[in-house]
Amino acid sequence: MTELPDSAGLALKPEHFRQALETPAEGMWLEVHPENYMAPGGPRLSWLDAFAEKFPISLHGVGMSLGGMDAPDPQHLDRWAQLIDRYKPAAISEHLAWTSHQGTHFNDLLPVPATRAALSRFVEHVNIMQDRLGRQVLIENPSIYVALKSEMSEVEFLRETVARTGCGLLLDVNNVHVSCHNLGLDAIAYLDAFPHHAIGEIHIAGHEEDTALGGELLIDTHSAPIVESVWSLLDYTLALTGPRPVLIERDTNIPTFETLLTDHVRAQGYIDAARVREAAHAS
Amino acid sequence: MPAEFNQAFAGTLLGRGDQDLLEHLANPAQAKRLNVYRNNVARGAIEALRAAYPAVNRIAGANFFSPMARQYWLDHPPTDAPLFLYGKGFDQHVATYEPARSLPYLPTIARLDRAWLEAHHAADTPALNPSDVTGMDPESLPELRPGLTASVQLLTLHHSAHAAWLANRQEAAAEDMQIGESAEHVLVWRHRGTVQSASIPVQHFDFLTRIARGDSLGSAMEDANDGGIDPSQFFSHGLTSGLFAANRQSETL
Repeated sequence: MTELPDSAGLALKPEHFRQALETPAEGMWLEVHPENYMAPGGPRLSWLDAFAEKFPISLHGVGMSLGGMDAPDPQHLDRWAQLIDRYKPAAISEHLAWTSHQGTHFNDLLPVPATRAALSRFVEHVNIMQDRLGRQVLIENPSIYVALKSEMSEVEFLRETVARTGCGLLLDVNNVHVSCHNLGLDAIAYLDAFPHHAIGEIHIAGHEEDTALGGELLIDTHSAPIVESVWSLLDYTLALTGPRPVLIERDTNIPTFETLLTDHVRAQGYIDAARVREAAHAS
Repeated sequence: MPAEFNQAFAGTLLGRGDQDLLEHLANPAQAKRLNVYRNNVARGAIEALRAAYPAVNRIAGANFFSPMARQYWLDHPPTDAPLFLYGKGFDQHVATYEPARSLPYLPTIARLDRAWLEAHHAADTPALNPSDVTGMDPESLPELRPGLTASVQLLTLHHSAHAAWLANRQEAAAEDMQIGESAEHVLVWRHRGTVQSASIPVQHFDFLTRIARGDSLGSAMEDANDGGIDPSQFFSHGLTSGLFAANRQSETL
């Protein structure tokens, strides 16, 4: 589905540029937010040139606002196209979310009500993005903090989007954990119902309890270690999908590169186990 | 209706109340959870500004910076997805932000932080090398209109704050804040991937300003000579520092 290897990758942070570049390339791949590389020039772009020479790169967008009212911004699509041309990413992805409204950018992944009207608009926007970029986009399930009035489940919304756009999906296991906790849903039932054939990439990350509301509300902060229940959900997911690319995300409170590599090794272990299971099943 | 939903949600994020959004919630008792989105959005903008204006943050203090940045965000929310160049005109906001009146040099610090940021992200335009010049016909050199590379920023500051700014860009605490009332000319540019800066005499500043606007080397040097300096040494220093652009070859008037 994508050109990413079925192995573990890391979200690349400037703090780790030097160490990441010296990492043995075997199976490693890296993901960045393209918005951070939409500069006219500068050292960050040169760094990414060096990484793209050595590792498969995934561009994971956070600013297209596909779930918004407004059609994708042509200028933003042009900048995406330039990055794809320069870095030849193995995968590109965006979110079931909106980030801007009538020219104001909120830079947060805001929730989309699972209504038929919102679905038609989302499908139209995904089609515009895929047509302009000339390739398949993976769409990620978001973390949800508040239940919206809806006409279908999130999984149905995503399944319908896949059917009508030919897009793939990026399954964020931590987001499943966080959303299901916050909305009182069953994470296993969510994963069982998810269209496994469309999953081109998996994300795992850490989350935290809301500082005001405590354990009632989990926040997808990418600022803490990955909890055991999310590791378990990853293992469960890979049993359903077989080996897939798995990304470790950490965006704030960034630990040492060695710490991230420990998570990377552990994620690779689950992928390897899924490969063994798949082989045993086939024989 | 989704139109109202996005509109109502945007209003909530910008602090205009939850009332319109409540009818879109499956469970209105969860309205207090909307704080998560409100806080994320505000914090994202404030932290982007803090990252873009580290010396302002350091001098004013993080607790002073946050409400100042929050007010800027409310007045000028981002209008583009990439945030790394968010905050244009923050110096003017600082200048009119009432609580910052006791720090009259703070807008100058903000201008320097902004110049650093723009130099850092500027296009990678090729620079004129000393070897390009030595290989040239000496007769044609005065006719050269090199212009400046894209990262070069020329600033005239109201306070001589360059040294204080530079010290506050570093991790080490800068206790000795030497900020003068007199104007200062500062050059900020990127060379081999690293942003550099220098306080320069007004004659050098004028020379670079003329080159920037497309004047020939000959006429810019002549003016500098009239101003009582020999610019050839500064020119050759600028050459080795990558200030001059390589893409504009000699054009005659």
